[in-house]
Amino acid sequence: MPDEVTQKEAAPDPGAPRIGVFVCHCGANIAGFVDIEAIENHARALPNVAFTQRNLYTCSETGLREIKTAIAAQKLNRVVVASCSPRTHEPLFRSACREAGLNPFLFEFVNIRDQCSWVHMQQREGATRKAKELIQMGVARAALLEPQEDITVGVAGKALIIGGGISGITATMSIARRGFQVILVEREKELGGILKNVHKLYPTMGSAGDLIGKNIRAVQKMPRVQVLTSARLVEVSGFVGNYKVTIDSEGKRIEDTVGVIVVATGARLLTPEGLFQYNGRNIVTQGELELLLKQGRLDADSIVMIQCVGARVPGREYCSRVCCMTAIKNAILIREAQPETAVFVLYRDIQTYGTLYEEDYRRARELGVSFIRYNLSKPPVVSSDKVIVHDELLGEDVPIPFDLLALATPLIPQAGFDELSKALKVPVDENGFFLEAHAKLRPVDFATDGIFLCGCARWPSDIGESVSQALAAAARASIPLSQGHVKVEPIVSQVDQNRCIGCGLCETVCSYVGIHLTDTPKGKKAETIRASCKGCGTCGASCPQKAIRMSHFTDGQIEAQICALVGTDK
Amino acid sequence: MNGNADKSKMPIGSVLVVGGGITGIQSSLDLADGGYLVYLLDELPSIGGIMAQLDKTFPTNDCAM
Amino acid sequence: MIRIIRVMCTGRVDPAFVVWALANEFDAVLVVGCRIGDCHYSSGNLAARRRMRILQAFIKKNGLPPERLRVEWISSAEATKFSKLVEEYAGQVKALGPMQKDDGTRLRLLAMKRALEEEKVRWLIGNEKKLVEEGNVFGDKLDQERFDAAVLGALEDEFNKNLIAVALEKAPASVPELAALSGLKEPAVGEYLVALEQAGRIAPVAGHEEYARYTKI
Repeated sequence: MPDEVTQKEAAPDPGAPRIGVFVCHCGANIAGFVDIEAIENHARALPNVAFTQRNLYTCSETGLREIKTAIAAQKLNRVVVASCSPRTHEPLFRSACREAGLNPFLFEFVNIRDQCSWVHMQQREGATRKAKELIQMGVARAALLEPQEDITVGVAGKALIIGGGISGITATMSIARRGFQVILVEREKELGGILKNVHKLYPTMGSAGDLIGKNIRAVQKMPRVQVLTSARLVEVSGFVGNYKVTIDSEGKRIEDTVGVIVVATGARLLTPEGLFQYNGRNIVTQGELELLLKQGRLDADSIVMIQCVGARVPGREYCSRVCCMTAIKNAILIREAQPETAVFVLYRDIQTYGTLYEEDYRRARELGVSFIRYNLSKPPVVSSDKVIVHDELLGEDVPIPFDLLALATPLIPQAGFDELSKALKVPVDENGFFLEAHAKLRPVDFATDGIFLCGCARWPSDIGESVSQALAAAARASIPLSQGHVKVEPIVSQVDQNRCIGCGLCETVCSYVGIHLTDTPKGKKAETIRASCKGCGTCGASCPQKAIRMSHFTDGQIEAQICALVGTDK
Repeated sequence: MNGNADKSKMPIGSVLVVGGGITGIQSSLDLADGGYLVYLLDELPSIGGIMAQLDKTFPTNDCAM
Repeated sequence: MIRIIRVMCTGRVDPAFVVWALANEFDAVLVVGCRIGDCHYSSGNLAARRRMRILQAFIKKNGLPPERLRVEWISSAEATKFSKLVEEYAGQVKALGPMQKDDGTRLRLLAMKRALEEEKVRWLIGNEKKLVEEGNVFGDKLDQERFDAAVLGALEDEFNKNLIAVALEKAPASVPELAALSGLKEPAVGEYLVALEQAGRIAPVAGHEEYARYTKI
C-alpha cells in the first residue's frame, strides 16, 4: 500500500459562489457554428454568475491572463470555461486558477466544441440552445464545487519494460543509464524480437544481426537491469509510482513494485494463408525472403514481389509503413549482388517518405528493378510459376514468370495484445494496436499515468522510429522516477462515520483497497485510504446509508447538474 | 527532486534547447519535469513555431494552440 | 441532441441519478462505460451493469418504457461506434416521444428516486453478486429470479411509502385522497402512514374533518 507523503489541511471554504463564465470562440470552431453572443448573454443571467467574458482563444496567453485578471478584479471564487475538452485543456485552466490564487478544483469545464459545435455544424439554432444548456448545467455544478488539496505519494524507483525487442532494449538502457532499476520482461527465450530475423537495415544497409546483437549484449551487462526471458506479466495492480506486478519467468513467480511501465511488445508479420497461393516454398513472405538473404540461400533468376498483401484491404485498412522500404531494400540488395536476377515489384502505392527513403526508391529503379502498379479491383493472379498482373499504366495484363514470389504482408498486433490490454487497463485501437493518449501531443504516453508505449506495439514503425519512440518513452517514464513522488488527484471518497453502520459493502465493491472497515470507538466504520482510492465512485453509489461522499462528484453536484434546466424540487 | 536515483551519479546542470517550436517546447518541458534547468532559445519574439500558426491538427481535429 | 454528464466511472452512476434525470424532463438516459472486462477502474462497470439491470426492471414495472434507459459499453477508442449508437438511440427515443411532464408522473418519479435511496433497497442491490453468485456465510445462494423478486418487492414497498411521503410534502392529504392518488387500498395507505409517522417524517394535522389529514414534518 503506497504511503501518502503529504496531506495538507483542508482548504478554506471559498464562500458564496461568485462564478465567472468564460466562453471560448475557439477561432471559428465554436463561434462559427453557434450564436456565441447569445450564449454569453444567457450565461450572464444565470444564478451566481458574477462575470462573463468571451475569448477568441481562452487557452491562449491572452485568454488565460483574462481569467486571472477577472478572478482578482471580480473576486471570482468559481470559474467555468465553456470551450473544448478536459482531456486536452483541463490541466491548463486549472493551473491558471491556481496561479490566480483559486483552488483548481473550483474550476468547471463545459465542452461546447467537441460535444456541441462540431457535432451540430448544420444546426445553428439547436446547437446554440444546447451550448446555453450545457453552460447552465456547468454553472449549477460549479456553484457547489469545493476546494480539494492534492495528495502526494512516493514513487518506486524502478521501471518495468514489457518486450525485449529493439524498442524495449533501447528503453531499458536509457532508463537504467539515468540511474534507475529496470526489469525487462521478454516472452521468448531470447531477447531481440523481430530484428533477429531481419537481414539488413534500410537506409544504412547495416546488418540487423549486428545491431540487435550489440544491444542484447549491452543490456545484459548493464548494471541495474534485470532481464527476465520466457517471462510474462501475470498480474498488475496499483497506479503510477506504485504498480504491483507479478511476473512469471520460467515457472518462477516474481513479485515487485515498480513506478512506471513501458509497453514495447512489438508486432508480428501476417502469414498470408490463402492469399496469392502462399506456400512457404517458392511463394513466401517478404520476411521469409529476408531470411533466405540472411542465410545466403537465395537462388532465383526472376523474383516478383507483391505489395500490400492483406493490407489496405477491407477489414485491415491501415498501411503497414515498413513494407515498401523493405521491398526496395531487398530489391536493391538482390540487384547489386546478382545483376542478372530480374526483380519486379507489384505495388499499389509506394510510400517512401522522408529525405532518405525516396533516394533508395530512385536507386532501385536505376538498378533496373521494375515497378508495376496494380489496382485492388484487379489484383495480380498467381499460378505455380507465373503472375499475371494488370498493369494500371499500360492498361494491359502482363504475365511475369517467377522462381520466387515474395508477398509483403503487414505488421499486425502481437498475439496476446488483448490480455495485456486488459491487465494494464490500457486501450487498443480497432486494429489491435495499443492506443496512445494523444496522437500528436502525447504519442508515447497511455492515458493512464505511469504507463508508456513505444515501437510497433503502437503501430508499424521501422527501426529508427522505434528507437526514437523508445528513447522518448524512457524520457517520459523517467519524469516520475526522478521526481520521486507524484500527485494523485484528490478525487476520493469521504466517509461520514456518523452515518456509516459498518456494513462493509464499500469494501466489497472496491477494486483498490481504497476503503476499508476499521475499528473506531463507535464500532466498525468505513475509512478511505486516500492514496489508494482512485475516485471511481462505485462505493458511493452503492452505500446503503449514503454515508459516502465522492469529492468533486458529490450527489449534490451531479443532481444539480441534472436538474439545472428544470429545477424540480427534490 | 531526484528522490529515487543514486544521487552521486545523477547528472547535474542545465540544458540548452535551441528552437521553440513544438519539438523544442516538449523537450524543454520533459527535461524540466525531469529535474534539469532548461534554457529554451528561439530567434523569434515568441515561442510556438509553425504549430502556433495552424488552426486544427489532424487526425484529432484538436486546436493547434 | 444529448447532454453529457461526466463521471469518473459508470460505477459512480447511482440509479437515483437516472430517475432524477427522467424527473427533470430528460426523455431518456444513456449510461456509457468502458467495455465489460476493460473497466478503467477494474470492476466499476460490472457494479453499474448489475444496478442498471434492476433499475430497468423497476422502470418497466412502473409503466415507463424500459427503453428510456439504455446501457452500453464502448471503449474510448471507438468513436465511430459511439456516434452511431447516439444517432440510433436518439431515433429510438424520438419514436418513444417526450417524457410525460404532468404532476402525477413527476410525483411518481420522485417517489422512485426516493425508493432507490432507501437503505434496504441499496443493500440488496449492492449485494447482488454476493447473494446470487457467492452465497451467504452458509453457502446458500439465491437464484437470480428470487433475488430479482426480492429487490423489486422491496422497491415497490419503498416506492409506495415514498409516494405518500412525496405527496404529503406537496400538500396535506387524508387517507382516501392518498389512496386515490397512489392507487393503493386505504388500509395499505394507513400502514405506510403509520410507518412514516413512526419515522418522524409526517404527522396528523389537527382539524375537525371526517378523515384525519396528514402533513410532512
